[in-house]
Amino acid sequence: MNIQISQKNSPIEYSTALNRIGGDRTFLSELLRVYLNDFSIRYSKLKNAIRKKNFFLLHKQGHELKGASANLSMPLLEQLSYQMEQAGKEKNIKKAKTTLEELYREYVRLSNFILLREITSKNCLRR
Amino acid sequence: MIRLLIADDDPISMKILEKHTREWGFEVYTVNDGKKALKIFKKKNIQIALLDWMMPHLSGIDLCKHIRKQIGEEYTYIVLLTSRRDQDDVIEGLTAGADDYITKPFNRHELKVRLKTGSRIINLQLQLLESKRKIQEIAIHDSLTTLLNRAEIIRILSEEFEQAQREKKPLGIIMLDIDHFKKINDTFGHPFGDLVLNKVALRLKENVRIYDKIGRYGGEEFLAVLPNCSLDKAAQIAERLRLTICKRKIKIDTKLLSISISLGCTSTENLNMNSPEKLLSTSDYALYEAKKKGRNRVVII
Repeated sequence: MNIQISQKNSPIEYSTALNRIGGDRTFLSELLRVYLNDFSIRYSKLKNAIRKKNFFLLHKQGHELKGASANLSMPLLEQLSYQMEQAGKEKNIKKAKTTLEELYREYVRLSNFILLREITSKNCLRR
Repeated sequence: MIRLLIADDDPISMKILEKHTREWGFEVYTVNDGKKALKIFKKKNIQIALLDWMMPHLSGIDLCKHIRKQIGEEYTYIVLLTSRRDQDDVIEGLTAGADDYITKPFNRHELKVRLKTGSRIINLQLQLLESKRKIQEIAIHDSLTTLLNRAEIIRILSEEFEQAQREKKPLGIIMLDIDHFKKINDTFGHPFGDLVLNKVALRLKENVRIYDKIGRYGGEEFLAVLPNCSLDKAAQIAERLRLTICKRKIKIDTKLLSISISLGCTSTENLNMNSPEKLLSTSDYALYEAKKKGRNRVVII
């Protein structure tokens, strides 16, 4: 199986992220694991906040997710997090619901990207 | 090592910052909320603080204001971490007392140089504090003998007198001077006389208790302030000082000199010692009596 991962429209600008943290691939892998775990916790909190119409929490979680996404050069996740932050600020529940769906889709895309990358690395090592 | 605090509730930011700052040689402390940050700041004497804007319990801005309210000698250099779109908040942050800010996602090299700037300021401040301490030391010490100077020993006497009154404990005092010092100066010259003063001062310093204070009161006069000291004990100490000077000759260059001192001693155990001035005048009179009775002796009043 020959898998090639294109940088174009990928959920993470991998080279930029790697450069930002000083080139340590192992550390970046660790950070991505932390991010995915953190995201799933925040996702639950956002879902709950939408249900309870807790706009302060929507704003806060959006803001925090935005920071984490930006640190790891994930432009779309960053943008969507900002959208969620604004939804909380504007008390716009409809915007929050739409954004949550988009965030989830992008999260899935990111997880797949990371998984594929890991598979590719293992294949390269075997050769 | 400069002590650096990272306060950020975003685990990604925290991990990245911690890794970089440890690599750059800082002593790093990390917390994920503002209240914990304030506790660590007080406990660990933090020199540089990297504070996230939004945190649980206490925001970066409010934490900044708290830190600035603490009036201590040592400065804390504060850098606020803010996201790209919130630059308007920067003005609020700098007004609250932050020294600098860094936008997320931060550039590693930019962060390094900004922290270098902070380190430079902290080191400058430490140098300034050290200079201040040295100046204060010089201001209270006699440059020739390195004992406390007259102003300082009198100030200490006043302070110890009040404490003795409060705690109802006795305070002893010994006034002493070098016998025939003028003759030494006239015979060998003033520079030689200075060396004699130095040697005598050193012996006196080595023979009082660790919490006693001794200062140069006049040209060849010294004053010892003895906290928690009865008249009997003060007399014992005075006699010890006398013997330490007269029993062993003083060697300067190739000359061996026999030196003696006369001492006047009193304590607040004595009635009517109702002020430091009274203690001084009584011990001075006792010293005068010691001189009159033939020198090289202790007189107790």
